[in-house]
Amino acid sequence: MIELRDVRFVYPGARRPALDGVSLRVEPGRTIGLLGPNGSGKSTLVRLMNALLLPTDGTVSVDGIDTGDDASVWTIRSRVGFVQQNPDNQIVGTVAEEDVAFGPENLGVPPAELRVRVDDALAAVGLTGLERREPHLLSEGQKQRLAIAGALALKPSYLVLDEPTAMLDGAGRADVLAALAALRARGVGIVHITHHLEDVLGADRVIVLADGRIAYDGTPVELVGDPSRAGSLGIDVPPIVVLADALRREGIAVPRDAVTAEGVVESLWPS
Amino acid sequence: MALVARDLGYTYSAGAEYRIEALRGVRLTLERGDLLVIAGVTGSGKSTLLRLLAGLLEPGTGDVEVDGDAPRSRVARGRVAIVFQNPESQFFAETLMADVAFGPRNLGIDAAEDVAAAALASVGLDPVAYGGRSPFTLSGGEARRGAIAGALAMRAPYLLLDEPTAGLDDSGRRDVLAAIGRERATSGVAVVTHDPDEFLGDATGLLALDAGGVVFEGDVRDLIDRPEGYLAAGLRLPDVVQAQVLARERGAVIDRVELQPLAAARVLAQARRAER
Amino acid sequence: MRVPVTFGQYVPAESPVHSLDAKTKMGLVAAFTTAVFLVDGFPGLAVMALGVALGLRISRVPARIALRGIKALTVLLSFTLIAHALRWNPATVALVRLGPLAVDAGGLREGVFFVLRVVLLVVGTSLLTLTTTPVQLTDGLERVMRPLAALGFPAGEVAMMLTIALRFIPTTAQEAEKILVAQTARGARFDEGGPVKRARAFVPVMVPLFVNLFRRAEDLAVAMESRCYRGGEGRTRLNASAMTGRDWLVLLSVAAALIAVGVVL
Repeated sequence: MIELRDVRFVYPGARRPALDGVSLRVEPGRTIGLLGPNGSGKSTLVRLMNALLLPTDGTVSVDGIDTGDDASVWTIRSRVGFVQQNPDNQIVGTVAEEDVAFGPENLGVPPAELRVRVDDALAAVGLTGLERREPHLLSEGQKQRLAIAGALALKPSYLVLDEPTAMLDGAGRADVLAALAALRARGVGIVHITHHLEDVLGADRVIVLADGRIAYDGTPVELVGDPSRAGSLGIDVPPIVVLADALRREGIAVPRDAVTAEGVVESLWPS
Repeated sequence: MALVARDLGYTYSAGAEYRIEALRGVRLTLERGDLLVIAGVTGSGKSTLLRLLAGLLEPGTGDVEVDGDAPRSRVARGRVAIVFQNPESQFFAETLMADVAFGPRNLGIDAAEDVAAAALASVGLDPVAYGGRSPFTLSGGEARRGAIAGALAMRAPYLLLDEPTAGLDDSGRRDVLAAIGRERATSGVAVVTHDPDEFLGDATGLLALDAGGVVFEGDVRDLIDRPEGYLAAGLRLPDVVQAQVLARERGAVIDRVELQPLAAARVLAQARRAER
Repeated sequence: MRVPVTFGQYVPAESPVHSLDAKTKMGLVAAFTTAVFLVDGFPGLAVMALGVALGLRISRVPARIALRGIKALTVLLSFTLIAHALRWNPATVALVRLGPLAVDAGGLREGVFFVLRVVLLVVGTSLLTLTTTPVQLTDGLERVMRPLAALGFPAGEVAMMLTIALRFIPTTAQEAEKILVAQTARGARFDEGGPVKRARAFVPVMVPLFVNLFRRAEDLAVAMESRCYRGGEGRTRLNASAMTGRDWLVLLSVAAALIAVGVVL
């Protein structure tokens, strides 16, 4: 479990804290969607989870290890994988498999096991067969899955992603989301930052940050089921949810968890 | 008076061993006041089309005309403005005002700063408050709008935008969409995107590309009758349209597809009541 | 649009030379260079030229590509030839005379010898870069430099820097092209005016290119730290290239033959 207790974080020289009074738990096999406008503290929050940043006040621990413990920093970083928005900026290797190997190479994993880890990680994101491909010849979606594979090769218990789909087209986005769902099923705990509520409708929990504080903590269905609440949080509800809400006002019973076109139509014209 | 493309095609490394046919057989007409949505996934040829329309590439086949002239001709210079993906990554000047004024100054427009100030105002950035700021200190949504102002300051009758809302948060997106809406009052606007949902409600036309070829062209509402090419191109129907498609498949009578969620809800509710 | 960006000189092919370890080829280049400098007569050069021709043949690199490097040196080589061949009032019998300037047999022979030596060196050493990928070269370099680590030379870090530079060359080239097109669309002209005006025209390209490079560097530092990078020490390698028995055999026998030719001829 990643546990944040009453965390406050102030960037050096900043007047206002980037995060204040944040407590939360990330559990294995669960997905948390993290939303909020630019500057609300999302990126700061995830950087606290793998000891890239240390809290000004409060504590952050990973499986019981405090992130402030200098001796454990590499243990923490191998348990909490981190993927950023722009895949181009985080790929180190000159060919795909060498990039995936970068993390475990740093830990001194022997070559025979490196091979196994690289093959497993590439398979987990559906990139088997592209081992020798140069990164700049991959599509954006493939690059982002390569970045995820690079984190997976460290065998993390948790994966933290900062807007991993922001630069992808529909197909690339769907592939990344599918890869994340498969990882959750394998027991990896996932924190997924996004601007699109649609991306995290399948998450176990959604947390919305506003001005460095947790403004909402609940299920995605509860959030989309309450458009006025979502609106006050600055989050655009998906159009299909607006449609469902309008149907309810017309007196047609549409269940709250119908958040897809199929779901809405099913409640009107059952197949 | 329009931006017109006829039988437009382009092949990269034409004649070489690994040539890539990026585009073929595209025709389109963009008039002032139009909002044309050009949809396609990565590699579908939409960025090539944009470059051809802006005169940044010489067509391989067919031709482009801007109000009757070739876009690469001297007289047509400055008639088509283009905003590339992540345009804020092309800022270079010390102040936002100087950056926005770069285009008009290159075109030799008098009082480039006044034009730039007007462009900033039209994207919702107060020229007094923002003009003197370094473009590198702006938030995501502000920076995107500032960069779009750089294109608007060209005062071109046709504006082309490549993924103008990608990577923005919701409030940034709303601001950019509003700025595009205002621009339509005086210009013809074409938006290239892989995720056309947010533009379709206001679109006057839709062109979908797949592997360089046109797979759909026409009114957005026609998608409900012939969505095959669009879907095969890896594009997703907007959920609101998809709901009406599914409802029709299950026997609901829907004559006219609506694109806005509230109007679509009325259509679905009516169809439901009609059955009782 | 994703256009393959090629750089360096690597010519992809399946050949016994391509499959040699980079370190072996580096060793051979060192032996070859030494031998070419040891040679002091045309027979020696002829044998070396035969060797290079054989190397090219085995590596399946077209001679036309291998000779490309010479083109850039044409002016320099012509100058070398003339400088050697021309004499001022020579005592010997001149072949051609132009006032006090003369070309004699000894000078001409000397000039031709020097030119041929440079040509051989360029073509011979280019066999290394033509048959080895930049990645393999970097890896090989790291291994060759490794003994220097004992003296405090950061071999691992230097190799990592080279790897990252190689990785980002295509990305940066693509980005520069994007910015160039975007500024062109805003009416920028890069082909007008004198040199100063032209240089100034590139400011709107270079500034964003560098700003973006620094942003990239920041992201990359975070990514590397997140993936436990802590310097070269203790790192293992997925594709650790190792010299095989064949490598040692080729290296020792060919190097011995080269040096022997150099000493004898």
